[in-house]
Amino acid sequence: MTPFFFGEGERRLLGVYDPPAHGAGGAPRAAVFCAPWGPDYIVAHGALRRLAFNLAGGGRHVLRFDYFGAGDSAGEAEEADLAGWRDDIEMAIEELKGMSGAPRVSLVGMRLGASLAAEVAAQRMDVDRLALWDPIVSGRDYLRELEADHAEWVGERTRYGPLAPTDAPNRVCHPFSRTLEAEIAAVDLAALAPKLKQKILLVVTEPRPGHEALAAALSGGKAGRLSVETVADSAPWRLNRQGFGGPMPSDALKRITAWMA
Amino acid sequence: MDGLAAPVSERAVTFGGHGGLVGVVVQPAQPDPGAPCVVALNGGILPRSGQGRIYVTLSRRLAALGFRVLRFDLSGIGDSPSRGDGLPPVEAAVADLNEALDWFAGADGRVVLMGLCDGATLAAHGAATDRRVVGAMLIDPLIPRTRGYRIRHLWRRLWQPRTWLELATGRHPAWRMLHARAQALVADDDLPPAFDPNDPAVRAALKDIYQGLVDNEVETFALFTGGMQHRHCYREQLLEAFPEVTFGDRLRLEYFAANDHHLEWPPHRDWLLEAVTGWLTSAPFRAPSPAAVSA
Repeated sequence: MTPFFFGEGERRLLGVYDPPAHGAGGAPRAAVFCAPWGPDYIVAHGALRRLAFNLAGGGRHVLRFDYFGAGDSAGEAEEADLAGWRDDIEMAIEELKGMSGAPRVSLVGMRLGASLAAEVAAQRMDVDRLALWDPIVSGRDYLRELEADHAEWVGERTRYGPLAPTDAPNRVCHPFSRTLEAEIAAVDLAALAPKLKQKILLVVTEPRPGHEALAAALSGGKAGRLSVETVADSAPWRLNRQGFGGPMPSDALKRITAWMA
Repeated sequence: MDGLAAPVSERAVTFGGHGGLVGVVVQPAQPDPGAPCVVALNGGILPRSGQGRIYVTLSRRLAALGFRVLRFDLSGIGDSPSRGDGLPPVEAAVADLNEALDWFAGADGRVVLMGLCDGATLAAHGAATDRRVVGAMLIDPLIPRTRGYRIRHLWRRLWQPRTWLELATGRHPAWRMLHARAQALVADDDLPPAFDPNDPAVRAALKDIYQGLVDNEVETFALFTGGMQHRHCYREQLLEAFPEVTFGDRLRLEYFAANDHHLEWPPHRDWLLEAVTGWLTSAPFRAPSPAAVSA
């Protein structure tokens, strides 16, 4: 595992590269991870690290990275926007292609990261596979989820006293600009489905009403193009108050690893 | 970065005996030769950037003021894999911290350790035992409950109409706790007893740590939040928990009443950033010692 910064100027991103564990025959294969947003990422970090380890063990070059304004990357969370994060994914793809010599990459995305991965994949010819883990299908539904999570957070913290007033827009304490909110509201993964030409794995650990419609749109009537795995694991991005992050979603990791092999 | 004029640079690093500890070094453009370096430890199992990236923002601010900062993941957390040497978790964390200090501060460096929750207790342990550590910023470290705690805690709860409402409607956490205990009895589970900082052995170990801070002449900023009311609930609890320890004027003690263990709510976060930078830039950290490193 090698952590490093990549990118130019003020948009330096923290990446963590896992080399393939053994020299697989044939062309090198590579996978870029597209992380979820904010609180989801903090909680899911361990599961994503484990998945990267598994894929590298299967012979892939793997790059995880932090978007601009997230994790250890440059920038402030207040400056983050989805247009920039899509550019970051493209930059990570080029970085990993350069490091690995792979002509194509696979994208593995979780939650909002899955939606961004699909948007990028729709624009590129060098993305061969797309693994979407609990993708955000409807940005508006996601905003409602964030509102509810935020209200729950505030409710818990005001059980015995008020919170100081703030005019800093945030969801669950993560900066949330008007730009970001508008961009998330515009996410419509089902509408994007016809533009996706890759083989796709849809992994569902916490079902949403939109996932069935997404599966129908993604399959597009073509047999073998879409695999759907509904897994009984705890969602790795869902905070477990006892274990903080909960158990590793071992079944989901196994199925993704097998599909990527 | 962070809207600050002074530029800083950030470098991803790996270090440690097994080469598996992953971190980020934040280097000031104009280092202050008199300033100790700062090492930030994971809060619980949160990755090194911290909740809401608090360690990222803080380390950039500190670097802009001339401090070198390392934030890193203990083994098994964030990006650092497990050590693979079979050490139990607490001993592994102590070994990781020693390796971080050796790598980042060298044999005669001066270090301020910073941690939250479990990270605070680890920071206190390191500060109590390693002569290189001249300062410790501890957010919600582990301390025993006191008589004063129990009186205040119960009194505050009894005065809250919400407590009575939730008790009457079955939504109070006490009901959930009773339910869980009843279930454990029925299931006849052989579960280990819940961790208790008032257990005599735990209390004795904690007392040694806090006495060590005094003996090691460590400038200490101990901050307790209202977000850990099951553990502490007033400013002087640390002093009353260990009356045999004479903390003296090297201790700055704060109780932040808001229910926000991570200080992640924006105004709380701003307060924390100001408080930490103010303390770090004004505390009279002791000078380097000729016998810098303990055995």
